[in-house]
Amino acid sequence: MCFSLCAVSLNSYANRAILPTPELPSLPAPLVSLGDTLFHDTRLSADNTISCASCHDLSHNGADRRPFSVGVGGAVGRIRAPSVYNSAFDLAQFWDGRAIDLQSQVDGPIHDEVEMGSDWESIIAKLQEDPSITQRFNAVFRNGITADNIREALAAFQKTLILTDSPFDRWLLGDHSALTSQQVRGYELFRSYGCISCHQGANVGGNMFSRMGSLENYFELKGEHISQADLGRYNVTGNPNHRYVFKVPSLRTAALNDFFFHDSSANSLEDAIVTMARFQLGRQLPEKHIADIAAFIHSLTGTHPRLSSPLNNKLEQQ
Amino acid sequence: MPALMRPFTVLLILTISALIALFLQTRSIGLIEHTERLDHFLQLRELDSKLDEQTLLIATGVQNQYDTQVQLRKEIDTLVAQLIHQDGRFYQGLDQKSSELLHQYAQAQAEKARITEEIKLYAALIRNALLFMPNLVQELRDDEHPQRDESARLMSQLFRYHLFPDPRVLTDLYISVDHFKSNLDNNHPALTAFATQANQNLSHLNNLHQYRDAFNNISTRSLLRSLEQSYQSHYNKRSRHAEAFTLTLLLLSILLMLLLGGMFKRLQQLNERSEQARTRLQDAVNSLSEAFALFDKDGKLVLFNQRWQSFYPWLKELDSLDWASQQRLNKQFGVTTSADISNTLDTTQNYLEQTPDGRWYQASNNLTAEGGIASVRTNITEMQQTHLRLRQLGRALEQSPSAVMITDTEGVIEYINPKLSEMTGYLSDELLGQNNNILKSGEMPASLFIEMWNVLREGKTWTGQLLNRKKDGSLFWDSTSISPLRDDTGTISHFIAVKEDITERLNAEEQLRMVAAVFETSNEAIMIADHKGLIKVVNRAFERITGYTADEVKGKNPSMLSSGRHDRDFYESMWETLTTTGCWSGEIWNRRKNGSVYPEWLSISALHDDDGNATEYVSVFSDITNRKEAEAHIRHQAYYDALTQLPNRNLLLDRLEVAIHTAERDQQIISVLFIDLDRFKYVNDTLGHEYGDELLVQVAKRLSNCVRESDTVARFGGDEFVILLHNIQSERAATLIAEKIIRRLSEPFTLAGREIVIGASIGLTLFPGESDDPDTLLRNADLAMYRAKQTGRNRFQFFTGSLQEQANTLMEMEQDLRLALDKGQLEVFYQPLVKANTGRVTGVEALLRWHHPTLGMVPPDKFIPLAEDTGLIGPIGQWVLETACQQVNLWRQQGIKLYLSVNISGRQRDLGLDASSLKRILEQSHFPANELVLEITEGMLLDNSDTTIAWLQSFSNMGVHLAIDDFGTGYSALSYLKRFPIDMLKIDREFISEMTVNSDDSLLVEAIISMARSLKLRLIAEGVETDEQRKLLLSLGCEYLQGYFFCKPVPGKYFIDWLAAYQPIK
Repeated sequence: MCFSLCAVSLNSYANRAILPTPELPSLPAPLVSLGDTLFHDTRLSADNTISCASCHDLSHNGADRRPFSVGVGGAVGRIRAPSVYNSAFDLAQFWDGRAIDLQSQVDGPIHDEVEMGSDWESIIAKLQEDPSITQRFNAVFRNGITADNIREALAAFQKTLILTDSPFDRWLLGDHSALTSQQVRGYELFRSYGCISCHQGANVGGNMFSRMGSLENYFELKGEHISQADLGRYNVTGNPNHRYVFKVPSLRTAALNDFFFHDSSANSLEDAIVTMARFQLGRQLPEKHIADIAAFIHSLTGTHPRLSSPLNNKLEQQ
Repeated sequence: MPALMRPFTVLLILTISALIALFLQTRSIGLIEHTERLDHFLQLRELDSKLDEQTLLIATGVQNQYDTQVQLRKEIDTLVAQLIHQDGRFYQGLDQKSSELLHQYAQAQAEKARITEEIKLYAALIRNALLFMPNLVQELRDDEHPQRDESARLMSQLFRYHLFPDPRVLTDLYISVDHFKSNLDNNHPALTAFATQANQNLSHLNNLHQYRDAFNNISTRSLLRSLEQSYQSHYNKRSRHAEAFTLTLLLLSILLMLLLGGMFKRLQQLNERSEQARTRLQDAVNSLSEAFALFDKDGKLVLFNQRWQSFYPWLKELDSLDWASQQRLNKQFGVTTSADISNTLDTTQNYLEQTPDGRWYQASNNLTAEGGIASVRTNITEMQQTHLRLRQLGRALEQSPSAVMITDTEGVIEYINPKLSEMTGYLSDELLGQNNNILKSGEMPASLFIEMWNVLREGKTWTGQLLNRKKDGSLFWDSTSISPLRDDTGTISHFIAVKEDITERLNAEEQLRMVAAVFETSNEAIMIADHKGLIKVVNRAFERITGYTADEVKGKNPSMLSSGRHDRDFYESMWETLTTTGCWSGEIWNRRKNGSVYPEWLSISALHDDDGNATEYVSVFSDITNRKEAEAHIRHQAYYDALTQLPNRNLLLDRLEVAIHTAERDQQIISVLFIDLDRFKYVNDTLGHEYGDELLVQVAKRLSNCVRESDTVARFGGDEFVILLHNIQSERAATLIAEKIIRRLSEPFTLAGREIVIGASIGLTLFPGESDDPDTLLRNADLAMYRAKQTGRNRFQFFTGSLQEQANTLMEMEQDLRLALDKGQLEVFYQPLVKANTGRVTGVEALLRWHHPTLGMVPPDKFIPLAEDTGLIGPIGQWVLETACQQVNLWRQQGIKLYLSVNISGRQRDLGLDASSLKRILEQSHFPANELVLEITEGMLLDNSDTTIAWLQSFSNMGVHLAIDDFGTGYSALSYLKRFPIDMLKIDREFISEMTVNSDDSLLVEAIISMARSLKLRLIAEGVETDEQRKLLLSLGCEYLQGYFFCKPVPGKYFIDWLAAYQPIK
């Protein structure tokens, strides 16, 4: 009984930690639509083969179905492509948070030789040859096609990629029928195991950095060669304490993912939960708890017009 | 003429260029941009303090989501990036020092952001452990791990440290954790996980505090303040430059105007010269507006105009008139002059003439070249009247403190008073005769003057504020009131303007407006007191927080707010700090108007005059009730039970420890009462948890009413309460309280609209007594309670040494029992079940026996309850089932068809016995399900829960039969039986043994038999020991018999021997 009492007092550490998805301010339609076009425009890559959408499939989960994305000339990426859905809420972009916002994030994939392998000069030159897109730029911006304006338009479009109306949000707002009893149990476990300490806020993550493997050395146990990407935030800050530190990913799209973690080392939600419990808590969870927590994470997934009925997809796969 | 104009043109162009350059120079330091910058500083300060608040909330564990922090961080980063942008308007307006400070500020913010991320991480890790550790402790508890209590205590220590981080406690904690780590009993995964978590938690806490201190050390606030100061002084310098530029601009403008005026005048002179030449004569006579007459050297009138005639209507025969006769005639008709007029025309004369009908002429007689007289008369009647009036007015206005100016209807200045001269810097002579436009600054909109003239022409008074220009070019604001003056006929002849210089007032007002806006919109209460400490003014936040309106506190001493929570020393040291250092800040409790007391964070600063005397005290404070409450709430939750609001186990342990110390020191007696509710589970199961909770709340109230205020009533867990009685007289006092509690708790409770009766069992211990350690005291009380419960409900029991012995024996037995299975000390005995009418053996009951190495054969009623309590009944029960099924199946294979009856315990339900595990056992031993009977006790039926029914039903569905053992001893109502899938009843041996001597029991047996028949239940009589009993049962219609009369329980091999020898008894 003492412990259920402690749990009552501890609830303050877990209560209201997850917030419902807020509404984002509306943006000018021509700007968003221009960003939409650019998002799907392969001219942003060196050989006109890759667009943003190539690795961020909006109909699927806003990320890649492959463990690592394939860029220009068949080059394979070094880190799992994160979802563009709900990315606007994150405190910074990329796994290691090296871009402070969506605008500055754009330069990353554009210049990366295993992604788009291009540069602004040639992109602007290609776009300027196209009168219709030039006209659209001129309608929105005073100074037409510039790198800044391309960044601005892409960021504006990405800010509209928010999954809304998830069962869990409805439940938070008072609809008690929105969750199954298994999902409610999963939520309780998610709290009592402490997962909610890092996965909190409206995005259920994405607002802090944390070490992959706070109890056991994940990378030692992984046993493989440690890549540059595995060093995480250390690559940005150079602080030795930031080795293996990554942005805590949002769980809003987790149920849609094919792969998990920066190194795609898990390929099912349940596997990912097992890994997390082991490396962040040092425990093996009972099968039943894993299933319950997975069910809860499913309830976090919202909808978006571009997303083709996510639950059906997932069910078919299963 | 072009040659004449050239130097002017050159000068003109130069002047205009200089003007434009200066104008641009003054424009460059825009007031709007300055305001924008100040606004940015304000935004920065506000965002920064919000961010500080969020970060500290996160560090203290009050804030458990980071969205708010991230949002604020993004806002401040965006703002700082915008400000620091090299081409931005903000950055352009900074001097070298300010921009350096801005860069420093940005760096400090980046550092803050970096540290905040660490704080967020460690706060999350700590939360994680605090959420997770109770699970681990619960796991240890479920497994009854010996170190469960130790880990619980360590956890509560950690919680306490997290809530009240006291460095002294930290050292203790390190020792505790080290001690805990090095004394791990075994490798229980939950225990090692717990030790790791505890250890990590400490280092996380340590890191968190370090980062929090580092965070607090970054003073973005003071950096921003220096930046603001630096910028402000830079701005002031530039403003002074701008003023100088403006002055130069004005001087140049004046120069320009003079140049233009000079050019204009020259042009006019040139024009006039040619004009005069053309129209000299004509004008002289006809076009003169004045009366004109020319007398020759003899005084004879030679030329005059029409007006002359009308001016002097009494003069007739003008052609023959001469100078002297005119003077005579004039005198005759009463014309008076301001000077004597000489008849001899040798000088030029100027004077005034007044006619008898009141007209005034200005007379001017000039000698002509030939010696004659040219006389000019101007009618100045009107002017003269006005002058008279103005002179009278003028005398009154001369001393007026307001500046006054009088103009004619065209705006030409006719009078100014000294004050106006002082105000404008112009001398009276410089203004008289000038148009009042000379004062215009050109800064006022034309529409204002149009409106002004409209008002004035309607004959009304116009008032307004005008920006005018002084002689020295500087601008000044005046508040002007202009009224029309009317002459005798009522037509407007003049305007009188009364002006007041309000430039300073406006500046001061502007300053005040800004200060007032800050003052009024501040979220923090502001109170300004005079040098005596009396309240002068307060803001809206003050009214909101204290509940007093400004009027209610004005002139009062701030002590009216005091809560009485601080002593005189507190206030004296506050005043001393205030007088020596000029400021004081700290936390203080004050009282609102409605009487409620609240904590505030108060900063007081003294304002001094030039001599260093305190003139005012400015107090700023904010209500920190909410924060305090949040802290208190967390503290409360850690120490109190959320449901009953009673102290929880942690607090009880604390108090018990203190109580033991006190009792030891003061030679007092304390007593611990361990109370367990009877039948609470029944209420919970039948009425539901809501009513169970409600019952606990009511019990808590009754318990609290049974003891003194100074005693502690705690909820220990579930339906267990502990009362700690301080300083009692004797054991007797504790007894009385225990009796009182039992009495009070036996009275009915009203729940869900009905009356519920429960009861309580109480165990008591005393200190001084067998133990002086809180845990042992509690354990002893628990043991005594357990004993009280065993001896019957609604009883109490003191702890005694023999109880301890019993407990020890029990404990030893428990340990032996754990090993019994592995060491092969358990054995299944079999007792035959005989069909009454044929005497044939149809089945066997499997009965467990324990061959204890030292105690010998232990009867089941001694160790089965122990096995149930410890959960050993799980593996043991399964072993019995497996062994018996295999044995009986072996016999069946040998051709002895018997059914098997095995006892099961309700505890086995939670320990893994279910339909599928039973099925596995049956399959392994190839035993048919419908030949198996599971015997359960009546007690299990009392449970009456859906899960129990479903459990039994799942066996029944397999074809397994169910029997009720010892029927008749429990409380079960017969109607109950219908709810359960029961096939058989076994009548308790008590009835059978009494049956032949006690007719009541025989009737009861008969009733049970007929009831069983009506419910279609088969019936077995247990404990048949005599043939008499057998016969009676047979005659009553009992179907099956069991007992020593046939055979006592024996090991399997003896059973076969017995069976071979058995002759059916009919």
